[in-house]
Amino acid sequence: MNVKILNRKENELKIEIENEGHTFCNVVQKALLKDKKVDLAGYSIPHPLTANPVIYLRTKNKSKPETVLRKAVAKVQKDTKSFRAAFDNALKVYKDQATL
Amino acid sequence: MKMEILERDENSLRLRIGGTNAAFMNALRRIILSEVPSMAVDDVVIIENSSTIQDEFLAHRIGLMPLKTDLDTYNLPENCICKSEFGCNLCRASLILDVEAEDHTITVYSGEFKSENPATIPVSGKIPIVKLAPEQKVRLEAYARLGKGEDHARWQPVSMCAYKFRPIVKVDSKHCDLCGACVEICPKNVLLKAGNKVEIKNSDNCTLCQDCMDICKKTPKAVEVVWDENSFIFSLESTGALSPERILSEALNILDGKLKDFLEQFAGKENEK
Amino acid sequence: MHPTHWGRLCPNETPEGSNCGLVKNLALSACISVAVNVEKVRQVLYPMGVTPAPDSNRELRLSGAKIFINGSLIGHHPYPSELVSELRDRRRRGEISSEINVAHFKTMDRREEIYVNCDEGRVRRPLIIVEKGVSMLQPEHVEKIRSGEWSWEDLVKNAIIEYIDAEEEENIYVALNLDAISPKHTHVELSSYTILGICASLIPYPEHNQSPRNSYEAAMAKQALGVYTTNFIYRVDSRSHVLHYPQISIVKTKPMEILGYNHRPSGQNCVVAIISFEGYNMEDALVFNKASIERGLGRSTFFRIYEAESRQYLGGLKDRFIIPEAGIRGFRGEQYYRLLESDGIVSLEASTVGGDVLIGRISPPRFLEEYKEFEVKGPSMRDTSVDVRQSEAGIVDDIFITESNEGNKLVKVRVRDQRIPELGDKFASRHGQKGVIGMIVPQEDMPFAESGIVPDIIVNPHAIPSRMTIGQFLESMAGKMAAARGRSADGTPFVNEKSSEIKQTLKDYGFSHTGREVFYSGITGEKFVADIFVGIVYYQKLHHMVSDKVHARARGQVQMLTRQPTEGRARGGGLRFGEMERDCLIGHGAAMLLRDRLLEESDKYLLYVCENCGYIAYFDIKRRAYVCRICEDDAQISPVVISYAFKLLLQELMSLCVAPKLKLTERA
Repeated sequence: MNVKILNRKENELKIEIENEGHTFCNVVQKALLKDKKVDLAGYSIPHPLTANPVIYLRTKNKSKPETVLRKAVAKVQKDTKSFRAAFDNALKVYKDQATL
Repeated sequence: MKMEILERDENSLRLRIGGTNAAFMNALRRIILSEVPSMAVDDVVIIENSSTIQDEFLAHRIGLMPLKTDLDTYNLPENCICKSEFGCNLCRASLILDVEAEDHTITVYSGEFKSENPATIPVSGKIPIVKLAPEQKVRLEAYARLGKGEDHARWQPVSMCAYKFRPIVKVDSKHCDLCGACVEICPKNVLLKAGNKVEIKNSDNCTLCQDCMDICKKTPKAVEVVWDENSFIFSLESTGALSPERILSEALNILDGKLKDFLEQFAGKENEK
Repeated sequence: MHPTHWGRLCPNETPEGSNCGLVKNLALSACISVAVNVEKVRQVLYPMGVTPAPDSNRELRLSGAKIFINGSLIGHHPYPSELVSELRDRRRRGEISSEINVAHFKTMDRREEIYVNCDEGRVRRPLIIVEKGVSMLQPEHVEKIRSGEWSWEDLVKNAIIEYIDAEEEENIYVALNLDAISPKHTHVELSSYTILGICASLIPYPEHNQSPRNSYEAAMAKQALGVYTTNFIYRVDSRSHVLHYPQISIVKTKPMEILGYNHRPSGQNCVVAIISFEGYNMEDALVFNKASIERGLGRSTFFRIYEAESRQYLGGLKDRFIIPEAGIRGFRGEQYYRLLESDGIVSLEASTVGGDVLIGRISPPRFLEEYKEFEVKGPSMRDTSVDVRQSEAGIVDDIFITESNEGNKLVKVRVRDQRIPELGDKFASRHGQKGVIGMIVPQEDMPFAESGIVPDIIVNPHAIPSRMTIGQFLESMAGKMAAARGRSADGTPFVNEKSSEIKQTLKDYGFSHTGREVFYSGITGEKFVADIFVGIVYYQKLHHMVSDKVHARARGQVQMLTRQPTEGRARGGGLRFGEMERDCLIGHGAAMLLRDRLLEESDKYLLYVCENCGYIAYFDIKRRAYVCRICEDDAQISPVVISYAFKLLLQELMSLCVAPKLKLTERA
């Protein structure tokens, strides 16, 4: 992926991400929207055959968009870790039950 | 996050997951479909084809055969160190097909491919490829590569990958008049009329169609179907190229990779500015 | 339509547009009568008591019935009803030809007429005879047919079935089906769905569609791709299409089996969801699943034949198949001949693009006779090679070398091109719901159900209300039911599996009785608020594909006669800027644009006119000036900008001895 910062204002941040699509942007957007410090968070893909997605973020008050964005991404990373741990555990439980 | 394996066998996996959201599950599902790599034939060099179907038709069919995939040995062609278009033995496996019909019509099955790497063989040897009449011959070399579902459907490692919200079915016995209409209409037989009440047999089977709620004549409805937004029942069936656990694991790796990549890129761009 | 069309002409199969109602199609059970000798019929009638016309006395002529054969009066008969029933009995017994039909008319003033018809060209339809309220067709007869002991002719011979034409139909009372037979009925229909013709019989649940939609489908079924014949590899059809993976429709009609359509089906069963998707399926466009296309949905191959004959001319000259050399007139360039083998014919399985030469041929110059007159050595051979059409490409599939009728060597090359569905290709269901692919969407973006099922095609719900094609909905639910239970569904008109049965079976197999399913968005992962209607519908790929139509021209060939751009994609033509388009520009007041379209980009021509006499001036080479023949020295030559077509008009008028004079004024 290639990240390009298109616009950076007070509380606003607009970035373009190359070689990604809904898979990445949607999960980041939903994570951003969970954060109370986020005023607006969205992404758009102008046309599926041509353009790259653009993520737009606006934070409330004094929060810096970059921090909020990094926090959201970190939260998703935590989710993947937790998913993997839960899965390994579930697999162990299943195998134990099978041998019983 | 909580997880429980409901069903598991060689090619399929069904999980109950709690403590996550739809966007995350969808991201995983999309990655499984389009970005988890698997092996499939990419190039077919046809030396002789006197069958009734033309070269490109034959090649199309060969490309769609699922091949057993060894993700650890092979590299994605774009990432391979050989950097050559033709490929090396680290990013390309070859299979050879050499068949001729002698005196009667034969059906050529996928099992007749001979692979240079015994690990990269078709998942099933019973896939019909082409029928040959006497004296018709097919000789070709097929080169398989790792690829992603987003490029072509032949590289999709799963035949099915989907989830649903975990249903919560409630019957309000105070309002229920035991007409039994909801029990009749439910396509998955979730409800059961037992004695003097309507019971819930297996709420996990519910598809959330809410036909039972539509048919209940009472107001307020005596049966209620809602779902937990943070609980899912997730199932996937592999084509046999990879094991379902491996697919899930790779998908998580890829998602992790994207997030990490993004943070690095972002930090870099920030410093630039 | 006329009531006699019932069972004889298909009510739905007729072309749209100028030929509507003029071109008709026969119904399934109808057949056309062949003539029977009139004399023979006459010889049967006279002994039965018909008094020949000249012999009938006044009383018979007034009270008796008139007897007509093929519309000509032949005599009279005192007891018409007995004559008619005797004739019909004889016909059923086989004593007179079954081609004869008898109609008995009682006119208002009680003068009866009997029409005996035995001429050719009458459309007749078979009906089962009913005697005393009981159908003549009994289970034992059906058994005999099933076992092969009896054939159709045996049914007619044994007076179980008889053919009725439009006139005799006036005298019978037909029951619609076996249950409706009462003692008053004389015949019963074979089956009600035989009123339709071939194409309309392919439509499932047509009685639930608005009638014009069935007519559209009857026309489109003829444009659908399939395997038109299994020996297409050996045939040299100038253009042909073959679908790669044809499927028998899962919702069938009974006539399909009879017609043999199931041996050569022309479509595929697709999972079709009805939902507006991202705005890409508006105005009848369809959204296709990229993964389905990659797995082979809608793939077809297009074959085209290029041929060349090596003719022989007078004087022993002849064409030759050879790789033309650089010096030859009309040599295209070495790269265009790169695929030719030593015999001048392209090699098999060579990949060609537009412009590549397939058959290299050189011909002697035309009009060699005229050159001989002047003793000048005519030009040498010229290249008349056959090349691939400019906008097409393909792989050489097969080469046929044979001899023409005159004994000349004839070479035919078949080029094939694989057509994978792309944006712009036209598809249609069997209910007049045609549409073009608007977007090809990756499988992960598609809405998905809990079972993992993802639609192959997404149809816009706006296509339904005004069209009222409920047959498509029923086909969708029946298809889903058929897929679930493993047995195809019957969508035959009037005798199909009813919607209540479909709903019950859907429920038995775990689907909602509404035909809808819970779907989740492929993009956000959230559940859609409304359940989506999804099922299996048979979709046909029509032979209007965008790669055959896409065309562009900036500047190119012009016609010799009018100097206007050529017409047609094959000739690199321009699109006509017609009269109505001209009116639009006039309405906008865009004068300069009009001039650009009609002059600059078309046939602008500078014409020299003599102001004095108003005729066209011509250029005198010796004097190097424009002169007017008529005015000589008084001539005042001025140039005028006109279209070449106008100059052509002036010259055509001149050729009619009409003198068009141009009055010029100074440019303002």
